[in-house]
Amino acid sequence: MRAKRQTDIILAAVEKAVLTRVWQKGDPSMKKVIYHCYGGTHSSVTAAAVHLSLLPADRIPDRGMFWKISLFDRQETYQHGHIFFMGTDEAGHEVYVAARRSRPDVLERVFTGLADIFNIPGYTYMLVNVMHKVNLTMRFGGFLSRRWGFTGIGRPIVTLGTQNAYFRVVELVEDVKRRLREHDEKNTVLQ
Amino acid sequence: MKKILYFSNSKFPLAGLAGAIHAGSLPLGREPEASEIWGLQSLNIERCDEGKILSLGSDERGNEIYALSVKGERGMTHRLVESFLEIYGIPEDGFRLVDTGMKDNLYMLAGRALFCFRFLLPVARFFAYAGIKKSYAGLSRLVSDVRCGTANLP
Repeated sequence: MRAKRQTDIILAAVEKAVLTRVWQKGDPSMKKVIYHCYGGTHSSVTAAAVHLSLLPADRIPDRGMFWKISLFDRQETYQHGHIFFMGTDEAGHEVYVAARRSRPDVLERVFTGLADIFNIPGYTYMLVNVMHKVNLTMRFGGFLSRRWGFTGIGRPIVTLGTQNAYFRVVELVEDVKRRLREHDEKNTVLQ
Repeated sequence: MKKILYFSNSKFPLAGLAGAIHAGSLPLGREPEASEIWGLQSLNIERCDEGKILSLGSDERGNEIYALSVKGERGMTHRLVESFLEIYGIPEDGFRLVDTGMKDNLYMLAGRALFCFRFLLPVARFFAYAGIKKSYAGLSRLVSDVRCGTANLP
């Protein structure tokens, strides 16, 4: 009985060590930055693209540049919840996008809850809600394109809306990058 | 040893109940007494913690038991959990997601609604307990299957 208990303790320690190695397999100072919005297809993708310098930060891109981004206006409803990898920024941080419909609390609670379960420290990830930067034109165009499937009409409208909200998104991304540089442990969830 | 996460597509913490049965905090073979339910601090039925992962202890094999309830976003939550494991490179054999496949019944919903009013607490508990009793046999069956390793993965 005592031997079994000791074995259990050793196994638990080994498991913890293995899991700790899992998140440490990269540089632990590198974060996973997850931009999230309703459909994970317009504002979050734009923010991620600005973060990765796929879109310029100093001027509003033309609509062709938005449409060249692989995930812009592409994600379908059945993919919501999936966390898509967009790329690695110049500092080595991994950038992702996710759709969480109208439930940012669910994404944040589930993600942080899972991180706790697997002993992943809060400073290794950052969840960024981009929904505050979305304007009415984006919502309307996004609904036309993604919900109702009228891509031909919806995509130009949502792109126009994204262009109007562009500098607000850029501002958010710059704030995220500043926080990443500061390596602030408190800012794992950015509302 | 695994980490087992029970999931329910419900406002009421049905997954938490299943997890508590698995961890041995609630009885497996019989319906629980009301005092056993309300004595469970980890379950926190009276608070709305949708999306929060509850830690319910361990079973006798050392598996860690967790529970998660989210109403109306079943697929999204599953994909979120799968993506999390994927992006952190966590091996799937150390983790198991068990979907209870159960939903709130009317008694549970009534209980939940009444928990908002502190002065109606006894009535709320009455309804919630009635709802729990109604679903308890199904939850017990599921937990038995999970313990035997015969429950289907989502």
